[in-house]
Amino acid sequence: MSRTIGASLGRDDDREVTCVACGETLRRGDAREYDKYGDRWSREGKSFEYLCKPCDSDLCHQPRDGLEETLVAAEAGRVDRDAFLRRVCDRLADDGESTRTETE
Amino acid sequence: MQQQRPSPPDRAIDDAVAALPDDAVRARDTHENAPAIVIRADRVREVLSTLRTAAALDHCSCVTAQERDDRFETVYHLTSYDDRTRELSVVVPTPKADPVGESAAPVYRTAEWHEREAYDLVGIEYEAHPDLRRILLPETWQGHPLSRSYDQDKPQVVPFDEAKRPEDLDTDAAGGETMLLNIGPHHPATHGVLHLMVTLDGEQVLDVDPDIGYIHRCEEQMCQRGTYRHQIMPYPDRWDWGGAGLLNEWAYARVIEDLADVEVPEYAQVIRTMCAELSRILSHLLFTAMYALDVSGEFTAVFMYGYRDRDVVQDILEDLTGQRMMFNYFRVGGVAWDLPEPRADFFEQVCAFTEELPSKLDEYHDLLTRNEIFQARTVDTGHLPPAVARDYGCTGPVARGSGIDYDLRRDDPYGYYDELDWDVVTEDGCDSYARVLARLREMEQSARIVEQCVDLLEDWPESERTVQANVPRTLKPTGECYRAVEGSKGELGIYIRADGTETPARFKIRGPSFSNLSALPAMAEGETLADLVATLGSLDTIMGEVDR
Repeated sequence: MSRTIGASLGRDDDREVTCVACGETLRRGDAREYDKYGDRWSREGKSFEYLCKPCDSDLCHQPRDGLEETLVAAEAGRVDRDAFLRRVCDRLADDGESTRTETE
Repeated sequence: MQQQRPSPPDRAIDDAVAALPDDAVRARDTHENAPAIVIRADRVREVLSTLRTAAALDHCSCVTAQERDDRFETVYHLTSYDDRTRELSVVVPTPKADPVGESAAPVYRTAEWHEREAYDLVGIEYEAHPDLRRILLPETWQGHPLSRSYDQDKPQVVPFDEAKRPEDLDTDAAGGETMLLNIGPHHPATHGVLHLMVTLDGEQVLDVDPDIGYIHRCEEQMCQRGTYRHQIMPYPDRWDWGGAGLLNEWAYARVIEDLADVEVPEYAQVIRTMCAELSRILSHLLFTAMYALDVSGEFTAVFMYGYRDRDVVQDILEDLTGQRMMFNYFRVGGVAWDLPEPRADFFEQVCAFTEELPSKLDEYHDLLTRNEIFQARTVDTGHLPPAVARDYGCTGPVARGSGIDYDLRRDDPYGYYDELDWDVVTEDGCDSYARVLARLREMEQSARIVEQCVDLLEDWPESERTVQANVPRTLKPTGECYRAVEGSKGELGIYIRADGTETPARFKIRGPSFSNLSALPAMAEGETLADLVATLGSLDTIMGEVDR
């Protein structure tokens, strides 16, 4: 049934796709669509990549706790893209470090 | 998560109220949601005009009429499209022996229909009202059902006027050059039981008079007979059979929780937010499916796609609530029960839907909004300029399709919306096409909200999954409160006057479709008859909340 409906939408759930994170080959119906531009709603002229469900859940569903503070601290929108990304990465690395220390 | 009430004092409102003539303002009061002023019945227009211009209270959200022990009362619930948290209740008492006040219709066009309803159901009359006649009940009805002197056992005689020959009606102002056409009450394009009396000059619409009330079922009176704790919550589902029931339940939950000072647990707020947005998607998908048929019979594929996709959402909501339409899932202080077990399967079910939605919506755009026939029927038809939309109290996708950036989820936040990342959708086309685009794009935002809620719920610690606050078995609140939520059709508001008993003394419903539909004549007059159906459909009215 799902194949019929999928086909009507130009989709084929049985076609094989590859998870861009772990490289596993799986059915389209078992995969999650991934857009490297982060906007699956704008679809014109785009081709999409795929993630398996475990990779999708690990990589695309980050907790939002502290996100607002991180963006403010990194001066989002005020500094250029490279500086912003560097600050975010530094901050995330610092957070990861402190979490590891607390665990130890 | 609960909103702090009452609203903070507003300088502009205070200044405008202070500037009102002393002899116009009789007293000051406080409602649970807003400050209130009591004014003289013969100064309504002057006071409201001042408040509209000086305090920028440009949105008359609702008008409530009621009979108190010693007087009749009309309450104008004013707020602002630019800042929904700025509110003021203007109370107009009138004596029992002579319940006549000035009409607010010249100031707020939306008051025209509200005052007709107040006259019809309560018996208050409004001087200088442009067309004061019954609106929900038949013209021949004797008495006013919400007045205390009304005899409920009195037999009523109701003629069936729709069978009258148009030539027998006195509607031709152009000396025989016009034609009266009845559309409805059982025409499929009216999506329920709505009768439009249309005066035509050839193919051109000269006048539209919406005749509503065919499914008036005394919803307000029924709610006034129900106890707060459990007996009222099932009713809001019945004001919208298009799937938006959970949003409607939230309207009642919000007002009673404010009145009874109930704090909803955060976990329950996330569940509410998630299922409310699924409910909005259900409603918007129904609109998409039905509107495709309204516009052209060639779009049956969209109709079937719409129902297919709705079924997926209905399966999810059935697993959550036990029902596919009349959900009755919200409770005062939370929701009825936790997510279904196994939770992982439920989340997978929801994510499978949101995973597929982008490609499905793209398909709807291919079939509808990028289709030349559809564009020909909807672009530049049903024109609704923003100023007119505001004047008629339009809200929801109808207002946002006219570029009005107004959404209660953001502007008067409740639930978990202010913690999530989403956008208010506006389209500035001001036509039927823009209203369709607004709804299709709103489904994207709803799906974004649902996905974020799933992420939160998946990680929620088991020990903190409280679905309901500890609410007393019997609630006996006191006070007056008007609260609204962003329903699928717009601002769905409820006013409750609680008198310390376990049932409301007055329960007034502000259905967004009621106000949106009142703008139809302004949109359709001057257009061709064929565009009238496309314009009506684009309003996405649901007669349950119009007629109540």
